[in-house]
Amino acid sequence: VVSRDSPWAPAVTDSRQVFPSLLTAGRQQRRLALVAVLFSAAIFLAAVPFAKILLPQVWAFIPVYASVLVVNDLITAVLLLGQFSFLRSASLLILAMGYLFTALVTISHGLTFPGLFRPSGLLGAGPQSTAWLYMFWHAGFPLFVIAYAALNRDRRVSRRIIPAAVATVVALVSGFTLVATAGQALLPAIMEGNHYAPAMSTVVSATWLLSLLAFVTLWRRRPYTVLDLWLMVVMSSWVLDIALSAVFNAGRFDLGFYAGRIYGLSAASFVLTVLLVENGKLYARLVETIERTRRSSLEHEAQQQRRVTAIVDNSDDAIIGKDLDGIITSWNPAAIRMFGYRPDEAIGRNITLIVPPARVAEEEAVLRRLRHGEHIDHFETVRRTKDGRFIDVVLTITPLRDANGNVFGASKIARDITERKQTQEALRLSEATALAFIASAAEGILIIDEGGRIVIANGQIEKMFGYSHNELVGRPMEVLLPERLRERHVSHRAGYAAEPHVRPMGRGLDLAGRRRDGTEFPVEISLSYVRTSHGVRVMAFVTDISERLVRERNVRRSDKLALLGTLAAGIAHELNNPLGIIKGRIELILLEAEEDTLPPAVREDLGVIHHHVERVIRLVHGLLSYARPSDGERRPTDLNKVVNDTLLLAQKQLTKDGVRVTTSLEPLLPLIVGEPNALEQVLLNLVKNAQQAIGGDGEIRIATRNAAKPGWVELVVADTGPGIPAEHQSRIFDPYFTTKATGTGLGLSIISRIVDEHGGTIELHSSLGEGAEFVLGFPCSPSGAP
Amino acid sequence: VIVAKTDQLASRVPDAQGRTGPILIVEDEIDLRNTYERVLRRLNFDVIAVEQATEGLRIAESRPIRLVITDLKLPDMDGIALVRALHACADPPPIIVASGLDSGATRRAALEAGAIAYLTKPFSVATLTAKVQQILSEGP
Repeated sequence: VVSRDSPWAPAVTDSRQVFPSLLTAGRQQRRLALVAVLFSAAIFLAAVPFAKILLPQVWAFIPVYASVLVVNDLITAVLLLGQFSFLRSASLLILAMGYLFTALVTISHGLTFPGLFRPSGLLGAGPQSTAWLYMFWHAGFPLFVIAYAALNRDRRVSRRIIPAAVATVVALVSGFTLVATAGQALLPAIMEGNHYAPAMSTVVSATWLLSLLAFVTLWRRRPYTVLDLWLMVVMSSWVLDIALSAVFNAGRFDLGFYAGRIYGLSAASFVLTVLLVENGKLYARLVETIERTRRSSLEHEAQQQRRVTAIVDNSDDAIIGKDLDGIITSWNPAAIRMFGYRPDEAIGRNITLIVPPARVAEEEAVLRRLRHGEHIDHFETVRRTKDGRFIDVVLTITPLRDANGNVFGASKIARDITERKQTQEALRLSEATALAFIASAAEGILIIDEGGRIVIANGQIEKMFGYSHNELVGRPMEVLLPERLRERHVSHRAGYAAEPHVRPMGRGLDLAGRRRDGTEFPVEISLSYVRTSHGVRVMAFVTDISERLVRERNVRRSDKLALLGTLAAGIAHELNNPLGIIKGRIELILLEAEEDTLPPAVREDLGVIHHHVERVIRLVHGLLSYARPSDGERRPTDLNKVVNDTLLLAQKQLTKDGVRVTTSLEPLLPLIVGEPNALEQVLLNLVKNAQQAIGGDGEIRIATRNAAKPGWVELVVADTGPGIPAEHQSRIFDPYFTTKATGTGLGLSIISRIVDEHGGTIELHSSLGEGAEFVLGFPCSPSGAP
Repeated sequence: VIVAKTDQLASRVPDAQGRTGPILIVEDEIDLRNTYERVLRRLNFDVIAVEQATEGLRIAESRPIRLVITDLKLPDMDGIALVRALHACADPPPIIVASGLDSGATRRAALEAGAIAYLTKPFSVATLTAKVQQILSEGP
């Protein structure tokens, strides 16, 4: 078992486990290595006593042994180079070069072996050459191993130095071979024939020590990788090899010689075996990985397929596949729900199945764009269902491509937005309705944002203030206020915005608006507010109350007048009797004075008193007429009857006074709503006025007619008097204005009041010498015909 | 000359319509009642002046009356009703209404109820004299 962590820190983290030989050795490996060492030690101990026993000279043993070594070491070197080229660790390169070195030296050693190819060996070898090459060989490899063990495993070098390294090793081996052959004279003689010379023990001891040193160096390098472990086994074998074949034996072809060579062979096999086993494992793992990858990618694909299917099946949107001719290739459950067709009714049919005939051209355009690989996003259109309904849909159409990128069809996602469209339309309509209501409201409506800027101002506001719509929108609403109020209003507004509340129209607030031309007018305002996503919006209803204020003032005044009138009438009425008594008694005194003579001064005094009583009587009479409260209710009234009833009372007197009265009454005159008594008083006053104006013979013309203004009738009283001077015309309706010595100045003002009460109008046409014509206009009764 | 002094219209002399008897005055204001009475007595008419309508009506029903002058606002009865009641008598006397009310409606109401003339208070002695003489001198 190989532990998972490794002292090697490879360039790629994942490649840490690529080479099991470079993982830290596990217990089992260590035990195995120990067994190997103990076993070879046991064999060694068994072999040592017999090391010097001469065995037959088997010449074939040497080349066979050399060949096996060469092949073993070369393969080992190549495998190590393979590891190096992956991990780029300098120590691995050194080790690979060590194996290359042994392979090459073994060749030189074999070639120079005396008596193998020629009695003195090849390459011009001497009797010492082979032995010295053996020494270089067995001293060189431990040096490489020491370098391997001493170098930091993490030291990396480029792969490009491999040729240089190989060349160096080749040069080194060539150099050693040269020294051992051509230069053997320079070296001490360590062989005498096939036996060791005395110098041999020194040389071989040094060599042996190097192997031992290599072993120790490896030993001290913890933690051990599997490779380290087996290199230690190798070095221990070498120690035994050298001991048997060069120390404890006597020379070539004895038992030690052969046994040492076998040690060497097995030592060369250890690392190779480890590497080969590793290769086997690597292949096994590779196959496993490939298989796993293939399986997981199949599984992934299937999962992906299931996921897509689930999404497609559960989508609320219709998802439809079609080819480039528009033929439907797939049809999900939402498509069934949306369009009403079952998959067997839809698949294989053309997509025009759900396209309204009027939109077939549109579908053709879509297919054209698809063929060009275009993606169509958010395309709003109409589709037809199986039962003939038209539904609003939004389409997203994605071209489908094969492995070569060619478009072969499309996936079409359709979302039913009929409801959304209807909601939108309803919303738009209701919004438009609301806006139309605001725009056409009889009230002025302003909508203001939190900053007091006008958001909406309706037509009534424009009319009221004299601004155009564009002049108002976006401007601060204070433009609609008189300058003197603006500053104060800003803080009012801020207060309202902080705590909005509904404020109904109310009295007690004297609010004023300012028109574009600077004029002011009284307004009444009600406020409401809405919180929107844009903040608080305040809506103000604005009413121009100028007219209402005038009306209210008038009502108040006429209420006061009516009260005053009632009071005055009461008083005046009470005055009638006393005045009658005073007047009567004075007249009686004066009558009786004709009989009993009265002093002239008393007669004169009585005359003055009588004159002023008469004056008071006229005033009281006028007051009564003016202030007489309405004594009847309004009812449909025929003006012609008013004319006739009045003349019934007055005509006799008029005729007696020489005034001719002519009437011209419209027979089909519509009724008016009025109080006949009051109207008779009006006519009587006008007639009396006319009579006084004529002052003798003349004519009064009374007419009724339909007015030019539809729904109105007119009563005309014209006289042949002297006419009214222009400077008086504007004042004759004022109370107490009179041109007559004995007039109270109330007659025409009474007429004016009564006509006003009837909602009517008075026009006066007159110029000096032309007489006067009063035209009274009255609105007809809604009930219409007489 | 406001009123000619005439003895021929004495209360016992029948008038143009052959009526005899006193003139009846119904007026609750005593000083006014007395004024009317003095004016009429100056014309040599007999006068019965009463304050209340019921009293006046009782007299008119019990004896011949040449003429009635009545107010419309009376303490015990509505003046128009009195006019109507007097007019309903057998051989009703002519009735002059003397009232402070000056509206066409009242005037019409009085005339419709049977009054022959309507005088709006206050009126002059001459007016009253002229009206009385006119009524009594006119034939039927």
